[in-house]
Amino acid sequence: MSADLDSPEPPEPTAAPEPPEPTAAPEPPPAAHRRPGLVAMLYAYRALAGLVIALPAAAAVGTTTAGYPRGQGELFDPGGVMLLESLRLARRAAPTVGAGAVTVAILATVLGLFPLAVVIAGLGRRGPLTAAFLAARAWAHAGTLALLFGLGLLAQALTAAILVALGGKLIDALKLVPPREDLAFVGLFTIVLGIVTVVGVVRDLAYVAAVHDERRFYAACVAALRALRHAPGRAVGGYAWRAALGLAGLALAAVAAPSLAGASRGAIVLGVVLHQAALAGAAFARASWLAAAIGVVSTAAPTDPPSSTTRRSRPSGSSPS
Amino acid sequence: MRRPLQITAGLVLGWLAVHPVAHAAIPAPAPALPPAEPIGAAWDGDAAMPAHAEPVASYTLQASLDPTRHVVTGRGTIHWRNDSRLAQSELWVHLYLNAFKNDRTFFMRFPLGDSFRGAGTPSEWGYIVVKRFALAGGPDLWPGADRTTPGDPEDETDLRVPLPQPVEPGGALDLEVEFESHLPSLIFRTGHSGSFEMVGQWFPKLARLEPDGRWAHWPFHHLSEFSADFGAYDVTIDTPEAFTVGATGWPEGEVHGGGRVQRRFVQQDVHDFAFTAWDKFHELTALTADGVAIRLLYPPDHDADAQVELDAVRFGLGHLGRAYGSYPYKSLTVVHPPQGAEEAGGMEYPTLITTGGPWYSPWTGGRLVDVVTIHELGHQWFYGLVASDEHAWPFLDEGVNSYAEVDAMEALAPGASAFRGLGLSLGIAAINRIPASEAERNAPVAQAASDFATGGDYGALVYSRTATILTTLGNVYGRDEVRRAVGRYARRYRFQHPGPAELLQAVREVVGEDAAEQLRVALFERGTVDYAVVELTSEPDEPAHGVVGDPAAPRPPAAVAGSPAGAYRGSALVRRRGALRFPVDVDLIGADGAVQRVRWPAEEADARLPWHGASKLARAVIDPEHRILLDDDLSNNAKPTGSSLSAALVDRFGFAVAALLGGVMP
Repeated sequence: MSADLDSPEPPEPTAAPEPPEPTAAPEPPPAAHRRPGLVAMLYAYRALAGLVIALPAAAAVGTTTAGYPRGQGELFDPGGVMLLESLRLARRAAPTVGAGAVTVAILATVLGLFPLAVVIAGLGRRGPLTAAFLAARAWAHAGTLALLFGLGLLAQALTAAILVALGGKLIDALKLVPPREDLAFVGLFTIVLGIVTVVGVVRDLAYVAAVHDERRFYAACVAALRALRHAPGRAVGGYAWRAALGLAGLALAAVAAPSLAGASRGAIVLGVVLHQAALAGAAFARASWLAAAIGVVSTAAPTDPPSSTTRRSRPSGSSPS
Repeated sequence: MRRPLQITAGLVLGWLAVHPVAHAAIPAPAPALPPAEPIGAAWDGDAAMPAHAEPVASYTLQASLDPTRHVVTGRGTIHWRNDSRLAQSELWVHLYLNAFKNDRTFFMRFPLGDSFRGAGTPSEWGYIVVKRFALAGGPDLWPGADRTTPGDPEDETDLRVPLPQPVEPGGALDLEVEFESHLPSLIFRTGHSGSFEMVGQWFPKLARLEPDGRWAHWPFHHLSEFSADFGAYDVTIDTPEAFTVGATGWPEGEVHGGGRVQRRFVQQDVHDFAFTAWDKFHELTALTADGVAIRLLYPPDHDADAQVELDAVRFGLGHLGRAYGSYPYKSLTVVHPPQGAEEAGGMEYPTLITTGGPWYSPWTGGRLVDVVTIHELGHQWFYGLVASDEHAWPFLDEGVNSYAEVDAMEALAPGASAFRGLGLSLGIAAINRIPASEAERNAPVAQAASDFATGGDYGALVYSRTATILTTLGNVYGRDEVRRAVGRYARRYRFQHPGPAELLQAVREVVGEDAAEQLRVALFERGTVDYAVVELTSEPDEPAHGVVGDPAAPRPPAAVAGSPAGAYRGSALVRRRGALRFPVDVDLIGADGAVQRVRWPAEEADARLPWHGASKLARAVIDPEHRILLDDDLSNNAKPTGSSLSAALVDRFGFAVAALLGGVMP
């Protein structure tokens, strides 16, 4: 994995079999719906990670009702006696289960950079894809992505902390009383969320610049900021509506899934289908945004000639667009 | 041989005497309860209830509030009658505002730890200065009064005032009092927050005299509440005109002048008086079908909460009145303190209660506002009208009232009395069960407030466990019966200051001796119970193998025939651990899904419940409807234990985690 912040001449990425280069005039890269395999991979990774993290907790909670004929249907009975009893009895296992879940979640999140890079690499290239190419491209930029992810997260956290602290002091100074005070905080959190989201959009653009344009950390950041400055509406708007759609699907599935109290097998299957469809929809929205981000970066920040801050896997003509 | 035995026995007894674990392991014997007299079915209705209390301590006070200094200047008279069987040569006076005088008082010295109420130190201390406490037309007794609580030179909340002459039984005296009450910043339901004033425990108040001539007096303890004799209160409150005042009693009129207003509140048959004043209160009023004037005082923008509170109070007055005797007063004031004054919420005074909850509560799916309002309203019976000793037996007010709250809320929102949303519904009974289970072995429920080691124990045992005990009794022996028993107790002892024996007697009469005994053991002896399925056996019901009876005799035809082909017989071994025993249903479930429900009296610790069925005994479930909320552990009520993973739960959890990860993942 390269440490491209410090190294002026980073090592070449692992050579990989390349699919034939496109020869036609520049065209938009494939949209997400043309790469269902990539979307499926993104969805599968997230669903699998969720499952692995959730299993111990589900087992801990489910132990209490394991002997009952209706099993975990007992948990959702009116009154909640068994639900609260399960939580009470699972409480002793909670620190262990929680620590394990957090560890796996962190690991899954970091490892999630790899499928992300694969998706960007795949979406940015027209024509047939090979697993070897995707893997090589993803591996080649893993270091940059990790740096972007970590620093992006730090930037988001710092931005949020500073804005919330300042906004909180401002609201306190206004000496508002509820509900105005609460609504002011809701407004503040909404604004902060919006700003943090924009930081996230910049990070995504930088991801794209790193993988698709094969830029190093600094160049990727510059390209991302340039793209945001060049087409802020397209960047933020393109992210926002897709994220909103994904969230709406998740919320809809959460609400629409049948109650488990006395649920039949069919109802449970329906719940599973709804949930998985929503997760797949969210993965599709993410892939769709990444495809759009490739366009935003390519339009606003055309690939520079090779320089000390730009890394190439080939001497020239590597732009997939 | 004798001497070594004596030495060994001595060492063992000595170790038991000094070892703290030994103390913890061997509960102190429950105090013997005095026998209670029979009550009778006549008290199941309101007709026999007394209309009024015997007035013992009546107060006529004039109070002037300075909201800038947060000082109440008061003066007036106290008429007191010796209602005991002994002559009294002294009075005991509670100056509970002095609990907040400094950080060395008995109240403030209580280690807070996990204390569940009144935590923290006030930013402004509060105290009361008595300037005059004189016999009417006679000498001022205050110079001769003790200055501190007996045995506690740092506390000034429980003071003895010698009388120049004893007051004979039935005799009376009139006292003239003058005092100045400096309110603390809001702490423990008393004090000020901004211009909001919650004025409780603000005047020199006589302790209660027991019929046997003993004074029920104690310094203000952090976990304790109050007890006093009934009387008539006539209080005139003088405030700036901009302030709205809510108080105990019926408003008899107001006089305006000089930018101030004097409001007079009169109420008989009560044992305390509190008021609130604020210049920003909004007000909502209503009249019930029974003629009770409801008045809600709440902060601006809390209209939705106020409507919830009004609905809860309307419902509660009817429900609680039918269950425990009709509400006898003409008015009820409900106060919703503003933000910053939440500590004033969730408190009860005669005809005045405080509630609470954020402005958005009605939209959360939670029923916090209803629950708090119903709980405090219930205190009008279990504190107000029954007037048990809140210090000596806190479970009789907070605990029995928590049961009444659960019962009322379940009637209002069955199965969802605490929360409904996200596909879940939670009841208060299930919530109470959790702390009740966790603390069940820590201490007896039935003990004085000051005997609880922590606020957490007090809250879990007094509130949650008492409610869980009574709710369990209702689930097992009949909800209507238990409600009727508590109602009989509440009606018979209205204005009478009963103790635990009277409650047990009512349960004994209405629900039965067995129920009363379980109640006693649960309250006084840390009684617990845990039901468990131990093992299941079943086998084909075939003719006996081997030698049966006299080998020389021909086998009887029936034995040869055996049971129908394909039948199974077996048993479920079930177990009851703990001193409590409730009869319980057990479902025996065959492999073909057939369910046989049997009733296990649970008088013995173990029992083998027989199984005869068309298939093998596949499963047994004790208490399938979860009636026994006191059951320690519900996970062992069913056997065999199958997989703890189900597709439904894994799907829900996995979906939730994956959805959350989607927001975090790169």
